[in-house]
Amino acid sequence: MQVTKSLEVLKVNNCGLGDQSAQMILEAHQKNPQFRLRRLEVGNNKFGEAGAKALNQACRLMGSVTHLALPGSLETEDNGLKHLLTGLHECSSLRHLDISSNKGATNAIAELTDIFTHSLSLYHLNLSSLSLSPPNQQALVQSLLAKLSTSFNLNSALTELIWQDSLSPPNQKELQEGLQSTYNNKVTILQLDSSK
Amino acid sequence: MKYLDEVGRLGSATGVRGVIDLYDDDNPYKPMAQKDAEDKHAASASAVTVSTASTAVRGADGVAEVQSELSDCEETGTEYCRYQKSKKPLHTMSSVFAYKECTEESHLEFAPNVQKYLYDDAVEELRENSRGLMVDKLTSLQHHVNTWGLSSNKYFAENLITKMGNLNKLDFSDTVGFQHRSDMPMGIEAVMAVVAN
Repeated sequence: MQVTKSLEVLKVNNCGLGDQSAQMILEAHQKNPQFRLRRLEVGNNKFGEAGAKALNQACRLMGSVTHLALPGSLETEDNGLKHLLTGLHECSSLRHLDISSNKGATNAIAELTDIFTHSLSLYHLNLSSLSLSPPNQQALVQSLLAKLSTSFNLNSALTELIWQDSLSPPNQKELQEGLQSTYNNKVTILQLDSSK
Repeated sequence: MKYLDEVGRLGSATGVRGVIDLYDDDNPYKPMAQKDAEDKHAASASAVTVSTASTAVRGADGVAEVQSELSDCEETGTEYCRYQKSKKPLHTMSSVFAYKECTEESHLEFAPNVQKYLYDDAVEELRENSRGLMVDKLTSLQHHVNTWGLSSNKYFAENLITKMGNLNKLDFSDTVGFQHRSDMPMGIEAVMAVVAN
């Protein structure tokens, strides 16, 4: 089979995929290690915890995924987002992560903090429309600012941060002022206002 | 005495009778480089046929002439223009836009099943649409899985995708707004099964 040797981009947005389809992507790599995606777009599907876990495992095993986008694919308030993000900061290839409009963010605060504090290569991060309580938002904002203020400039590649419809006005203000006063800040695109 | 009546012109009008020929031996402003002389026929031909082409050729000649002067300067050791190192004519905006090299993409978007063919009719439609296609050259494919049934997608996977040895991008996203079919995930899984085989 020649296909899997060159296939790098897979887009299956809005296709009603479930856990079984996510498992198929993981099995595709397990059966054929040459199947290494660079870009995976699975937005607006219906993954559960098992599907999120399979996608996480697929990304970590492939080690080649630079773009991972699954906006609006986790519709239940369970540990789906937590499973998806667990250990994802160890993927050194990941540069673009879009997890907007997903549910279950409250259970994934620790994993989101890990993304902020430990990911070295993440360039674009979209956290729009995540249902987070103000204290959780504040914790994430502070972890990001702490990371940017203490690390060397080379240790954070985050340049584009999209966080629409998720932050309360005080947290928006804190993030904006913190980024402006942080010397190591590389964020050049910051979208916090409502997208509606 | 020859140039007495041409004070200040240094004999540049010598031999001119009406139209000035750019490549006339008596023209002191003729192109000096050998390459320009070789382009003479191309320049004259394009000047006759298409005006825009002749403009382009003249522009190229102009650049070449500057280059020859620069190369002369380099040979004589006179450095009038130190930054001009390229032998190729530089684009006027080359300092503004960075050139990005990329590979050529051969993209195919399969038509959606607008007529809502079913079963064998759908497979036959797929077969007709794919007849004569050089699928082995494709690098990017968009297929509206949602509009085709499971059997059609299986046929598509087993008979077409298996021949796409250079496929780099696979797009099954629903972009046509069809009502979702219950067997769409199974259709995608059928394709993925072939890919993962």
